Amino acid sequence: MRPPRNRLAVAAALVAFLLALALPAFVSGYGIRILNLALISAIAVIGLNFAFGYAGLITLAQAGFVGCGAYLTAILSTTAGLPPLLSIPLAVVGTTAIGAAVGLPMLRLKGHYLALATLGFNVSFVIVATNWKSVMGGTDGISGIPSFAVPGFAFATDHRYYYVLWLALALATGIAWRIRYSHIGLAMIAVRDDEIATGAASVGVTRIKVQAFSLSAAYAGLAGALFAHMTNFVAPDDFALSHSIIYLAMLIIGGEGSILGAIAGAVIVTFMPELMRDLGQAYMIIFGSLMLLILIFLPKGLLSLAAMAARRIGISGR
Amino acid sequence: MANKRTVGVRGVGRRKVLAGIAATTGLTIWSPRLSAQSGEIAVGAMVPITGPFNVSGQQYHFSLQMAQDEINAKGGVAGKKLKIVFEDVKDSNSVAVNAYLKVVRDTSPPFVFLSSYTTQNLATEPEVTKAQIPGMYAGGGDAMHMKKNPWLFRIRPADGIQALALAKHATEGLGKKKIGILYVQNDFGQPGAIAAEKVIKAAGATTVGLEAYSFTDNDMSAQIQKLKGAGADCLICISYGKDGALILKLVKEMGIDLPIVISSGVMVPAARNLIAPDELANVNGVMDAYLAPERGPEVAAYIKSFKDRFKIEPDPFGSCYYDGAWILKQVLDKVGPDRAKIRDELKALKGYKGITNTFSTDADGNMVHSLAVFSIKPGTREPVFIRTVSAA
Amino acid sequence: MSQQLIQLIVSGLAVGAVYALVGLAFIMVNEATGVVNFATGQMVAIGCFLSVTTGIQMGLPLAAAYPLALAGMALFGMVFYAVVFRPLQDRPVVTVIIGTVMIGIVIQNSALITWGSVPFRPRSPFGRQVVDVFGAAISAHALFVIAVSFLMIGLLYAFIYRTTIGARMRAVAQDRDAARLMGIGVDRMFVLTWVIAGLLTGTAGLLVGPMWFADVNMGDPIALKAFAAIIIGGFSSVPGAIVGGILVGLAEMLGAAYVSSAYKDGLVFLVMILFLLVRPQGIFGERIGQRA
Repeated sequence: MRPPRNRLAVAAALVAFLLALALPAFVSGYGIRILNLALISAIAVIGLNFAFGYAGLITLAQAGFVGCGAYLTAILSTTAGLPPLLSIPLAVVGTTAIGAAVGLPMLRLKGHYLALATLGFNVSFVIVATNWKSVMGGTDGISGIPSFAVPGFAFATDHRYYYVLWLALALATGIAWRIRYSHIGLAMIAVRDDEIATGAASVGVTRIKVQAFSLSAAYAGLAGALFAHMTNFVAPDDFALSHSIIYLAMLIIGGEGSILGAIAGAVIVTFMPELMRDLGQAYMIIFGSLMLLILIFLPKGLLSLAAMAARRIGISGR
Repeated sequence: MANKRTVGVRGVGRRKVLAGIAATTGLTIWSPRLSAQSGEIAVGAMVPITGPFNVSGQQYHFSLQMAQDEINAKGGVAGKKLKIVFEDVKDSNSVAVNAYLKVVRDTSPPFVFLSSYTTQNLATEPEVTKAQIPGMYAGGGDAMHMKKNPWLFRIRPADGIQALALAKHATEGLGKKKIGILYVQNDFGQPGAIAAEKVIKAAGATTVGLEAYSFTDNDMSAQIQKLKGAGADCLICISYGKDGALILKLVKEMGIDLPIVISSGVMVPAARNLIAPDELANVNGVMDAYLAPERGPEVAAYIKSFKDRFKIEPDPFGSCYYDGAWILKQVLDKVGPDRAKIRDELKALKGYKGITNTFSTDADGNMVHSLAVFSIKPGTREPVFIRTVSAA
Repeated sequence: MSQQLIQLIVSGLAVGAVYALVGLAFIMVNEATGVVNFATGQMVAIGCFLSVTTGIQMGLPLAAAYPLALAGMALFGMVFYAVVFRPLQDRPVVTVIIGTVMIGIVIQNSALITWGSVPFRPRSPFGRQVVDVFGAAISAHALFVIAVSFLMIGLLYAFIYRTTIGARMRAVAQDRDAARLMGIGVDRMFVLTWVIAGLLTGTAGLLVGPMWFADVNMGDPIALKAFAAIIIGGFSSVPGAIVGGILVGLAEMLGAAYVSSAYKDGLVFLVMILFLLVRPQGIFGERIGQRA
């Protein structure tokens, strides 16, 4: 099913992934933290690409699901005392279930109705996390979350943890690629295109939407769980509505409907504020304007620039 | 720590190459800007310079700038110039953690001032433990000192002490028996309200009601009414600046004539200016410190040079960092830029008299243990010192 | 009725009237131009701060400060049309949503640089006067807010349903292409819609300033409540926005008094989500799916 012209892009991605393995040798503690944050965001955005890029569902809840994953693993590994190796998969399963439960009723809605409903979910998540002090810790959050470890080896530094995240991203990318070209992935895209064309909806359509939404939540849950074991601390602040918007922005900047675009967008948008740190307040103005310009002039994201350049020099890419 | 230094030395050649690349591309993420020079001792400061938190961040920023210049004018620290490297922590936890990692990487400082916001400090705390660098912070949340992190010291009274002072003043000070508590629904207001309730009970008075509002609320009249309806003869408000000002405005509008004891946020000049003098008539408030020229020539000189330089009045929230910087000078002069020794000196600090308070470190790293209570001079917004309430 | 209940109801009506104005701005834009404007809250903040500039910083009397601020908001609506709407008008819904979110970020941070993070307290035309309503002490400004809001809503109604320009605007809202064929200047109607949105949010901003103080972060909490209001009232219905706004305002005040002050916001969003799931067209709205 994979079109042959994708081969070059796949090869380039593989090379980039392998080269990325060497990065920690060249980067300081601060740089590696930003890289780690970029990898974590990339996982969440690849997930978002299922719901938004493929199935066309406008969701403003991704940060809420990242928060579900982060809080679940935080609670399981502190209060319940589970090792991260167990609590992370449980958090992913739990977040997927929450995603399905939220998606089932909400996904009958379309367009801005869905956007507002998912926005309501994200706002409610923060209200609950802020007020449910006994379990979720309120605005003080949950601290003392253990670092990731396997029996006999602890990934306690950011440099070591980078390899865990690298592996997680590689797996997440590989699985996303498989799904994209499986019948599920094709069905998602068909749902999006079909709804635009005919506005038709059926039971099957809802099922596929819920699948896309749950997958999206699963990836968010993984990203959140990985985040919690790096920062050793979670608080409602990191999962507010504004972060959902940033995730969408990452996908749009990179190029919606493309896994590589999702990764590229996540990396670029994570690094941007740190690169422009000295601009202070002006940074957010520049960021917002830049996003607007990309929306206006590059509706397919920055990856379309790369594709254009590739066509220029005679290589075809996605 | 010894480990880290070796890594640093080994990496110098690589760093120079990368610094060249960074200079041409602006990629400061990859390599440090090498801001510390040989004649200097560089320490970090995590300040909300921009964003919505800069109401307090600006004061913090200014008071450290002033301390740095004054200390250098008096010979610097341990025979070298003191350089405070400021990093902006905005209003986000992850930005605060990134800023901390950046300043540690850039200057490998012997000491770092942390944020004035508790959640930012809670987020940064695990990194402090990894880096083993002593620091001082101003955020009041009790969750922070309950971590008992041996590297961190609080240069302000903790929120718990503030709640205690509010309740003590309402009961012992004003002699009130039926007290209503209005608090902001978060980790400042909620534990504060519970702590105040206990003190009220211990003093033989009753709490007639506890009412919450959310930080973004603009109208608390329902809550105020409920407390009034429950028969309160005094209100304790645990609030920040703007919301506290709104409460005082509403109480006056609703024609409710009750004495109000309110937390420190509303007593800083920026918030007091939002309130009309007659809305302040019945108000007693606590503040971290009694910061007025009457307290002595040193305080008077501090207030004057702050006003001359920055054109605004200093507030006690930010001014505690000024004291922190001078404490740091004393410690650096004594033991030099050695992280563990600085920590031990700060831990042993007793009875240091600063501009804002007297500093004595306890087992949890709290250095300040009392607050000042004020009333308002009728017809003005001027606070009048009543007394000091301490934790013990 | 007890005095307390009167105070609560008047406060609830004043808060609700503001939500109704903001909700109307949202609906006008969405109906006429198909844009879901997530920067609506920031427009309220700008309206409020323009009155800070004219009324406090320039020291003008309110009779001059208010019209000047509203004129500024009309201009702001035009700029918004040119910079955000025109380039994005034919794009998918999500692009426009993200676009308005981004311009909201730009507006909010520009406001922070321009006016700073320390709040202001704009004065009311009625000062801090308190009037007696059936024995209850009510701030005159709250009554002013209710009166002005309903005046604005009445004017808007008259404009849409009693004037030729209003009829043209409705034609454009119903069918853009048909309106163009009939010779209606569709683009001019779009500009007009954005100007009206600027005036409605600007009025809301002027009115809330003396009640809630002017704070550059004031926009989003107001906009979120206005979203809830229009979903409850009906996403594309003018009476729906008014009823929804009043309901949310009253629910906020009475909910805090009689249910739980800590969870009253959660309650409003819970009701909003329930409406979305059970009756997404709201109390007054049309059925979803009718619109293309």
